[in-house]
Amino acid sequence: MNALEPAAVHAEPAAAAELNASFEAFCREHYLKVQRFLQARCADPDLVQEAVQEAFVTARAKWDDVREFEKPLGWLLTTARYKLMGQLKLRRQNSMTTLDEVPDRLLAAPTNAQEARDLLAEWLRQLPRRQSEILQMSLDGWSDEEIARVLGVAYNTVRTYKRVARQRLRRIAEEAGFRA
Amino acid sequence: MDLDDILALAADPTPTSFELARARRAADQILKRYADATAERLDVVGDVDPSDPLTTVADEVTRIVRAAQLAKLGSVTWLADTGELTWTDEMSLILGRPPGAVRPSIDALFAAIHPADAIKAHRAAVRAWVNGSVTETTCRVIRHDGTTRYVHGVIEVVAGDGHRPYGIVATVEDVTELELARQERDRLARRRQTVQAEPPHADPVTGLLTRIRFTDEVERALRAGTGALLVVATEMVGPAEADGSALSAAVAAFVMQVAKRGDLCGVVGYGELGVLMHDTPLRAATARARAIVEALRGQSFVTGRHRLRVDAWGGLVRYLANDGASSFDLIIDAESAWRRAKETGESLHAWPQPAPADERAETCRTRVRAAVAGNGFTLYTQPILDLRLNQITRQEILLRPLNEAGEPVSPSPFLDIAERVDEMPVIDRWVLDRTMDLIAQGPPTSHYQVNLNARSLDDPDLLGHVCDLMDQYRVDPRQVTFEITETAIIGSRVQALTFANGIRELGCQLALDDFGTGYSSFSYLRSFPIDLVKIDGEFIVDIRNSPAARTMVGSLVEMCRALGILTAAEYVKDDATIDLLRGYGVDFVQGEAVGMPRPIAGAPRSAEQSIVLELAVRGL
Repeated sequence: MNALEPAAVHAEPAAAAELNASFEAFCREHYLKVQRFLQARCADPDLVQEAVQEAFVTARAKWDDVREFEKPLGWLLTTARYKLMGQLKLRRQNSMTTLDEVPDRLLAAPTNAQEARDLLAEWLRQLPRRQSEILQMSLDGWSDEEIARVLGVAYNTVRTYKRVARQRLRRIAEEAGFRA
Repeated sequence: MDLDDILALAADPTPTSFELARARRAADQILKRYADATAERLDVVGDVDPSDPLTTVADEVTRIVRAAQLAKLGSVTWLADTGELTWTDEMSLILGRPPGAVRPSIDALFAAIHPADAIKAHRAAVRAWVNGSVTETTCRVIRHDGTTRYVHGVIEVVAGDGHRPYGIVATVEDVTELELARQERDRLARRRQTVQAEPPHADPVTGLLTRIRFTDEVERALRAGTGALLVVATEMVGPAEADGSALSAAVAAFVMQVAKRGDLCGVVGYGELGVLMHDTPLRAATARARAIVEALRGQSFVTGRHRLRVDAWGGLVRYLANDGASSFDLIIDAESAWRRAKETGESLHAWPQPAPADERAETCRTRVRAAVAGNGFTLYTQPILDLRLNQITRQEILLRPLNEAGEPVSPSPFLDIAERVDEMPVIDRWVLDRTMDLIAQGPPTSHYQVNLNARSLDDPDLLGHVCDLMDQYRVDPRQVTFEITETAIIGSRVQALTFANGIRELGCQLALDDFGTGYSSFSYLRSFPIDLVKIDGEFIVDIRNSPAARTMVGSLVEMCRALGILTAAEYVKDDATIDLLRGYGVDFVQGEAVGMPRPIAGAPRSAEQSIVLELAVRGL
């Protein structure tokens, strides 16, 4: 199956250009969010990047439909997540953080939003992966109902894990020397 | 700064310029990949679910099962109102059954779960339902072909309108590889904790190499070429109450200073230091050796309030690669050389090559026999604490050879020599005679532990001799435990067994010394009538800081108790160690915390002196 209809592109170049432009804007706005979301689950940056790119390429192919969704990003997160899981399964890759990788040093306090986000991503990886995904989405502003739908889990699972994950994250932060 | 501050900082929606650049680059890459893919007419959609997850109308069960399918995971669904259990084809495969082969039911599911994990799995499901919230569990399933796999289940409670729970969906994944990797990581972490770093190489008093390490170094040098070995013997000239160990340390430091850089220095025996001059011709080695001895004689050492001098003699022996002598032989030769120097009034005696083997053996034999004939030994006793009564109920009898000055010294170098030339039975008989006399004079309630060497057990007359002695001194055999080492059993198993059975029939008890090191084998505990196992001090000295030693001692004690064998621990240095060992159920302890070896009445020197000596040679 070919996802793209080349004839349509030639017939309506203006519409195609507009489609491209809106996708590019979407891509720039959300690329890092999707990447960070997957990083909460997988420590291997190459695997994550590959999954994110594949998901966006697929999104581009289905952009005509996806752009009409209530929140296209929700579909993208779902899709990128499955791509990553497929790759992990293929490689039988151990996606859990090993003991050696857990940094025991006191990390420098983050000075800007990006450093704070990177630090959080590192801590989130130390949580069980469902918990880290749920918390990451919650931090990104998704509602519990939305999280349940994107991840394909029960509503009350989201509520429970959000709470548990936050407690664990606080403990990890305190162990790293960040306490009130 | 705490977590909330970091979360607030991270929530800032404005991307940094670095993030913007990264996003722009990524977008360019994606557009290019898409263009390439369309040009090649590749399928970039595949089996992706094209529907909008946020607006798709479906109940929770459907959504969760669908998500599992897309992730190629298994699902099991249980609905409360019907009590019906179903599972997907993927789940059948995880359970190792072809889809459709088994009708899903709670019984069928638990039939596949490993019996040891069934309760855990059941509890996880019940807890989820009762609490109305998610649980996770990892358990084993036994597949149809008999193989075992680890599976992880996320057990979720599904709710309908009004958030009323109506069932459970478990999403199940085969995590065998992950689980094995995790177990291996745990194992390696445990191993890192329990494997001991190398034992200390340096003598605690002098800071020089220990006797064992020094012998190793000599052995290595012997194989690698020519050189010379110097043994310097020193005797303190000064008041007897001066601190001997401080002097040893000062002498050691001085010798190291005078020796050439590159020469290895080590402790050889009490008051004996070895200097290994590898790759050195005899003439140069002799000159250096003479310089060391002369310098020692000319030096005065200050320890505490005392100014001390030492008398020193040097024995030098040259070695060639493959001249047939072992490091032990070489040390004995160098020792014989310094004795020769002392006898003849020289400061140094040098031998151009190691002595012939038979000559060396004869020299050693003569030394041992002279010591026995001249009563060149004394006996010490060390108290043993019975942990059941918290009372000292036993004494170990220890042998101390006397040096030329009539001072008791550490037995190990001397006994090494005696063992080499097969003279231990003579010494053991000397000890037995004196010990029986001692026991006869002591209170009849006391119990004594006496060491017997390997070679003594080979003596078929020994048992009769022990009988005669006990008769002669009217010693109750129940007052005596004979300590033998595992090497003794190795010597002649049949003979050792005959002796062991014989003395037990007599009423004595049998202990296995130094258990856990050397030629340890559990099989001895089964085939020999051992009453007591003495755990080697190596496992006790550092037990408080060593998880490995704790595990081993704990298990060993448990095993011995089950076998009806008492346990004793030596080298116990503090009360905390005693408490720990009492907790493990050890029966007897001895060591610094209970009492150091003391000379029995009539011994030539004070107890304090012996403690110093003990320290000076500890670790030899």
